[in-house]
Amino acid sequence: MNKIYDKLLNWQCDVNGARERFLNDDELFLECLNSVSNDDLFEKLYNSLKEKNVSSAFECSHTLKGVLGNMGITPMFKQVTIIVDAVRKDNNGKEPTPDFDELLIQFDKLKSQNEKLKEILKEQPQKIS
Amino acid sequence: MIGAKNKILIVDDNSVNRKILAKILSDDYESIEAENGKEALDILMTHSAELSAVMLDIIMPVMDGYEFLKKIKENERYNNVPIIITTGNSDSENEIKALKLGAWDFVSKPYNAKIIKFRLKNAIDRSQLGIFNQLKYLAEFDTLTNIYNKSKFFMETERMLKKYSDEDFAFIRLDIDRFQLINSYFGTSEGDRMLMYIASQVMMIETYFEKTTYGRIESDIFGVCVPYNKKIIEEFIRSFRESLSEYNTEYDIVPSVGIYIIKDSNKGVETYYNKATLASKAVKGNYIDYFAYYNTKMSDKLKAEQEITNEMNYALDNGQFKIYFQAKYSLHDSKPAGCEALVRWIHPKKGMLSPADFIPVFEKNGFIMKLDYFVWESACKSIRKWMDEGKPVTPVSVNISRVDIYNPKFVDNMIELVEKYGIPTSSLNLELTESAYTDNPIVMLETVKKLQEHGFVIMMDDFGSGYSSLNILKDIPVDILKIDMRFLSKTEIVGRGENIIASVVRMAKWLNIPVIVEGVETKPQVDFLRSIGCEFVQGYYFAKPEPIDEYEKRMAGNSAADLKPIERRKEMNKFNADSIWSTDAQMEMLFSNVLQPILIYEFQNDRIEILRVNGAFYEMLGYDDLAIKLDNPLSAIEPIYRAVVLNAFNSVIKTEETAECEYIRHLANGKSLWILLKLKYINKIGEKHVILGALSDITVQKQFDAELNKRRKAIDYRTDIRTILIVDDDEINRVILKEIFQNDYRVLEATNGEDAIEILNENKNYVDLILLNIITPKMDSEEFLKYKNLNEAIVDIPVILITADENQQVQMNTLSLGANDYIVKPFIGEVVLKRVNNVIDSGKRFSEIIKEYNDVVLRSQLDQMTGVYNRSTAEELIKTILKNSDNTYAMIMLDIDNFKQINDTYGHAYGDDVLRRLAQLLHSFFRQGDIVARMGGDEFLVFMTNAPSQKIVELKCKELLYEIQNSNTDKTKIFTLCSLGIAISNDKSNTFELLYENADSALYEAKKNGKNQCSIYNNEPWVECE
Repeated sequence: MNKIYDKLLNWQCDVNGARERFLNDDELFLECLNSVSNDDLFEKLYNSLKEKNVSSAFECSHTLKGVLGNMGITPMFKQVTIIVDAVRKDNNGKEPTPDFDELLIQFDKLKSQNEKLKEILKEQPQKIS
Repeated sequence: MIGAKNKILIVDDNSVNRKILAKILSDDYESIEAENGKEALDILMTHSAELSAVMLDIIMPVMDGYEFLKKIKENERYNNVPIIITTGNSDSENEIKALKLGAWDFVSKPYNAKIIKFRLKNAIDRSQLGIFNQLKYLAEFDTLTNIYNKSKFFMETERMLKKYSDEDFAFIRLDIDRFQLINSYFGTSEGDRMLMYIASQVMMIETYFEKTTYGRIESDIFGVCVPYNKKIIEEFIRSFRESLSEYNTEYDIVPSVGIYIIKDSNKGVETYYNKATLASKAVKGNYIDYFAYYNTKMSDKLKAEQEITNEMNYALDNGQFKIYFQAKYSLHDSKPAGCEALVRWIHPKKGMLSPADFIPVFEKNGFIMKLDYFVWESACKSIRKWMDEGKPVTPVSVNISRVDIYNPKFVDNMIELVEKYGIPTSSLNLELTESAYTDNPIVMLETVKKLQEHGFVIMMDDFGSGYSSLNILKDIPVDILKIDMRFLSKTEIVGRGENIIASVVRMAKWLNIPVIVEGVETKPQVDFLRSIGCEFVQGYYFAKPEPIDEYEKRMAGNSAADLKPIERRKEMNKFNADSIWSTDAQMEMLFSNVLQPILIYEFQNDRIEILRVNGAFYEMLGYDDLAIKLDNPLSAIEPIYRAVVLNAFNSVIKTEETAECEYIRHLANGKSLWILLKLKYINKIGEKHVILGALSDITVQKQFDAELNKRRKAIDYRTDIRTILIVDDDEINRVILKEIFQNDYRVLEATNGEDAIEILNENKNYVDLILLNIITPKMDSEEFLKYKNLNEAIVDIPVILITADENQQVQMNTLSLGANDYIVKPFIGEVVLKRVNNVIDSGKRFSEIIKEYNDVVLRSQLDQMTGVYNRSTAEELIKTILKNSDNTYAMIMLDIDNFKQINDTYGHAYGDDVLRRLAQLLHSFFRQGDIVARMGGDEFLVFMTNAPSQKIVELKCKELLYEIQNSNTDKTKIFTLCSLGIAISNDKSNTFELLYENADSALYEAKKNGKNQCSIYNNEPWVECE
């Protein structure tokens, strides 16, 4: 477990803040980390960007932002924020016209970050069933 | 249920977010999860009673947070469920939108456990506050009039009487005559409107007494309790009565007021109320004496009245009522001038009863209409007889009761009567009392006009007994005035009664209305009346009321004097203005005898001159009055009112009728008065207009109005305006915050902690919330909060910190210092306002109200002696619990085995002590959420909520018997031992009645098996304690 936390900390993640949120329930924390990394929201976000669907892209990225923030995965949180800000409606409620090619590049970064997260989580001790 | 955790509905499309929230809340709350707005709505609909709050994400599929809020807003049922929005950080746009849609607060992601709990708790407390306020209000206030209801009023009165037990108090009961009539005639909404008005007038008692309680007892009955001060109490009642007559000009609202002077403050408010009720009964329907003090005779009077009511119909049918005629005389030639028909009750056992005893009773029960008709018909018969016998017909006057006027067929009946007997209408004169006019001026006016059109002569009886005598003359064209000598001679000042009679006679002459003075009994009275030019009299001096045949004898050989009214009306313009200057005796008398200050003015081209003033004028304004001295009436008037006065003069010369105005006027001694000036046009001499003016001093009234306004403002200030103290060294911050709050709050400002303490002192700590910048010079927030926490007077004032630092660690620190919440710069108005409202409502006031609520409501729910619940409350609580849940419960009935023996041996005081101790033991023995109640005598009931299992209940009861046995510390006295009967709820027995019955029969079983026993329903008795 410590290995995972060390790696996350090295990766500039807010592990302490997140664990506090889980009232130091490490089991639940790790369970949630796993489900976040495997969340189909990444897939949905990718499809939305490919289909140039701004509102769907916003919904997905916004939700991801919330979860990643809560989980303390700061690098990914920052990365997804770039996407959220690009697809967010302006103050008058008008949808933006983002550069989707650029956003797909940003998404690739997010995706590789997620691969990194998955890698880190592999350190997880196997549950004894 | 007590002990169960509050349930929170978490709405978020992301399961991880839901899990985190549920985790954060897990210590204090139970969570229910929903994936989107629609799912949440379904849960809310079915579980709203269990939910304490909703944590709501905004951006979700299917139904988003906004849509959910909109749906909630549509349904009032959910208004009290706090909804807290979970948003992304610095998402102020969404936050404002959500708050506008009805969200209570928000928290941002990533979540911070402490902040979430803070916000959630504040919001839940606030929703509870709403519920508690509502409950407390319902328990204490009359919802229609917004003043105390009966129970709260009685309770507060009891408290006041106890607190000031060395002072004398009076209990005043006020109600409205024939309120039911108003309700059925004008509808209940008008009735309600009137009740609200009456309540507002009852509240005025606060301007008379500092110590006072008041409330609505029921229907139109109100109560007031104040320190006993005859003068001030009567002043209040008079002004109360006047304010009621101002309510509506179409009908008069007449109160009945009963006053009981509390001599023994231990008798209980109910007793005082009953006595005051009796007193008010004594004046019910009495226009003149509408208030009375209780005396012991009142109970006797009630009995006598009942007797009269029982016998009246029989008496009428059997000729016990006899008609008597009393002759009227002309003073001019001492000849009889008609008579008044009066009724006497010749009771076979009691002899002749005085009309004063039975007429008021008949007026109350309506029998008067029947009796009046009997008198009218008798009078008609006599007149017919005289006509048939060829005798001269003298007019007979008959009395018309106020109740008759209410009869829509009254005029027709009258006409029918004279037609039936074929007598001239002018021979039947009708005496109406003045009070009937004030009662219902419009009906009265119409009735009088109709009667006059048919030739009836209308007499105004008892002139001067009402409150607006002169007004009546203005409005109602009566033909003859009757004044009662006895009534007016009751004044304490020698000669004043005579003076008033003289003035009335003069004035009536001026108006060309004949006057009959009644109650004339002595020679000096006759001489006096003759000297003032009175024309007609009635009284024992000339003739007593006598049987008709005797009256007829008296009239034999006498030609009757003419009582015919002289043609009048609109004669005022013929008033001889020359007499104004004359110093003849008559004029002098008129002028000097009028108690009101009167002036005669001359007016031309905006110039006012005073021609004459009377004595009352000098009495009011002094002999060295400025207007007289400077020969310019305007000079004494406050400059800003001069135009108003001139306006009134110009208006009166234009209309040649009347005008009035109000103004402030200065006196020679430096004081000022508020004056009401009424002007009446007299005539024009040359180019100058002669105008009569009458002054009234309305200063007291004006001061009272001002006082009232002040009081109203004070109330507004107390209840509506809340105060907020902003502590910030940065002026711009203060300006921005002030801008946000000034519409809803009184805003105080301080630049640092020290300053803030000073301002708190200046405002007697009357501050609802402090907004404190985390960093201020001199005394910073940390020091200030420490000071505040140590200072009891201000420890409960909530504090919200102002911070510019988004860093959560800093914010967390501030909360740990004892602040209630924080706001971040730059400020967003809606957010700041919402947060402040949340904190204020959930703060100090909440605990205060709970405490007060407990005080008020619980006291009425508790058994006085033992302090546990009383029977009715326990029953109600248990029924509610059983209705709302399907858990398992245990009901335990318990009584003391040998209570009678204990009572008989050691006396009741000791017995009471045993009961108290047992109650205490039960209370501490069972869990907090369980219900312990005394059902009466030595019988107690315990209701265990969520009974874990039958086994545990049994064990618990066994333990209880043991505890009770052990509580007998005095080994020399008889032991207190109990028997227990238990019933456990199940599918079949889950109503209060059934459980109670079962527990009772279990108790019976236990008793059968000896002392100190337990028994469970349907089971064998199972244990005896060692």
